[in-house]
Amino acid sequence: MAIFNLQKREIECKVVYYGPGRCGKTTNLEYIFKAYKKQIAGEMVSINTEGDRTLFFDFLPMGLGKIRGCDVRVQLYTVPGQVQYSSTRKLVLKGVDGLVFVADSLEIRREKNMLSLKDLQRNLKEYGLSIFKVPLVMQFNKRDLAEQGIPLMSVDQMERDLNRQLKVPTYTGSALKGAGVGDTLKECLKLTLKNLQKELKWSS
Amino acid sequence: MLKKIKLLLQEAELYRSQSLLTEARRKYLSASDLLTGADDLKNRDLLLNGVNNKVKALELEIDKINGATSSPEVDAKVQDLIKQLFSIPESGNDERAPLEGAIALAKFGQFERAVKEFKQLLANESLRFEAAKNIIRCMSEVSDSEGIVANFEDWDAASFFKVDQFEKLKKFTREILEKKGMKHAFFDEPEPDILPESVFPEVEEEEDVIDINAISIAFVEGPLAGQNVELDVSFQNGNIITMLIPSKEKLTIESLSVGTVMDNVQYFSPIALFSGKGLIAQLAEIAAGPKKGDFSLDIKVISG
Repeated sequence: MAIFNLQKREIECKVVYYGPGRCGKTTNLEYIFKAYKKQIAGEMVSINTEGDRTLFFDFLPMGLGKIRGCDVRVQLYTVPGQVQYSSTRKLVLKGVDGLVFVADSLEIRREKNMLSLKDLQRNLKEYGLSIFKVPLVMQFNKRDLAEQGIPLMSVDQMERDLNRQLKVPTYTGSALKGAGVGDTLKECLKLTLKNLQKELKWSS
Repeated sequence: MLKKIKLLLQEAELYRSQSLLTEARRKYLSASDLLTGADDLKNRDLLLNGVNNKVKALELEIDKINGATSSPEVDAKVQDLIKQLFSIPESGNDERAPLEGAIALAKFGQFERAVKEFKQLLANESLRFEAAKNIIRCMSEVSDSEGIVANFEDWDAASFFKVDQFEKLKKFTREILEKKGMKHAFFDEPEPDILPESVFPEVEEEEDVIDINAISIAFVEGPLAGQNVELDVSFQNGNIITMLIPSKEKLTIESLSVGTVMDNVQYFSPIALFSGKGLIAQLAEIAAGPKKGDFSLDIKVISG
């Protein structure tokens, strides 16, 4: 849940990047860290394990400046995608204000995407949140790999698999090259702040 | 056939480059199967050997990843960050902030540092009991039953806890160790003293209450007036039974007030069902652990 300091007119909110292992959550944050230097409010912290996989979380603090008279700060997190880190994913998700679900476009990862989305729904539910109500944006990542001849799912198929019921905004992306990373984040922040504005009855 | 094998090897290599090791291994194995059957292929054995080596290397890497500990101790800087990011006290009570910080460390498996911090909190009387419980939790996670005993001996020597608190901690430890399949004689329940009959003082005998599994409370007033609520008993000590009420059962929690005697309580035991009264002895929110936020309800059974 966002921290709203009424006296200082400060809002701090939490956006979490979720998705299956190796889908590119950390790569999204790494690109944001490189490309949005002006908005970055500190170092990016990554806690990795064997094989360069995220162990606990990645963390990147951002400052968005003044919005409607409030100083808005955002904390970006990723969760560990590997199945065995379920309890850590739940811990990181606590108090989430907005979500980016990064789906892997590789055909071979189709089932992993669906399982991860289900895992997200289950973990949100345990915090009393509905996946249908929380600000959520999807990114279909790794589209660039088509050039290398790896079988990818079509965007239509991914929409059908993952977004048929949710109907949230989706973006194609290539986090490694930065394509779609900024658009995905901007849309997520827009939805998150709109939601907070409504929840906190925050106006200038 | 050769084209298919080439395609499989190409895909396997791409998956490997994406660190999708299981997928890469599967493609290499498919290629290996095809190669095995391609008797007339030139350099088949050489190719097959190369593919099998790649499979072995992948299997080693997969084992290494699967075998990595899920919560290794990380450096102090990262531990500080974990404390800072995951220790916002829900109650807004700043006094609890250090406790929440240490709990956050424990949740991320940083048991050694967490124990150090919980030990510092023992100096704070209002947090002492909770800190001690968390020390026990952390040490049981690393299967350090001897370390737990050493703590108890220190606490006992320093008279750190009241007698009832000390006994509660021992019971808490016994249950935790049992759940983990561990046991230590220090926490065994003491056998009752067998004394000659004449030694027994003439005191009013406490009512003998059978084991109770569950209760049903018929509310006559409050938001649940006219309704029955069933609760499972999670612990019984003589005529005091303890039940856990999930935080979402708000109406039930609101309908209970300490000191009230409820007239219509049904008690379920393995051998009988009986009705009686029940005194609400305690109702407290659980402040830490997996049941945090839920309520613990103590009822004194008044039968007949």
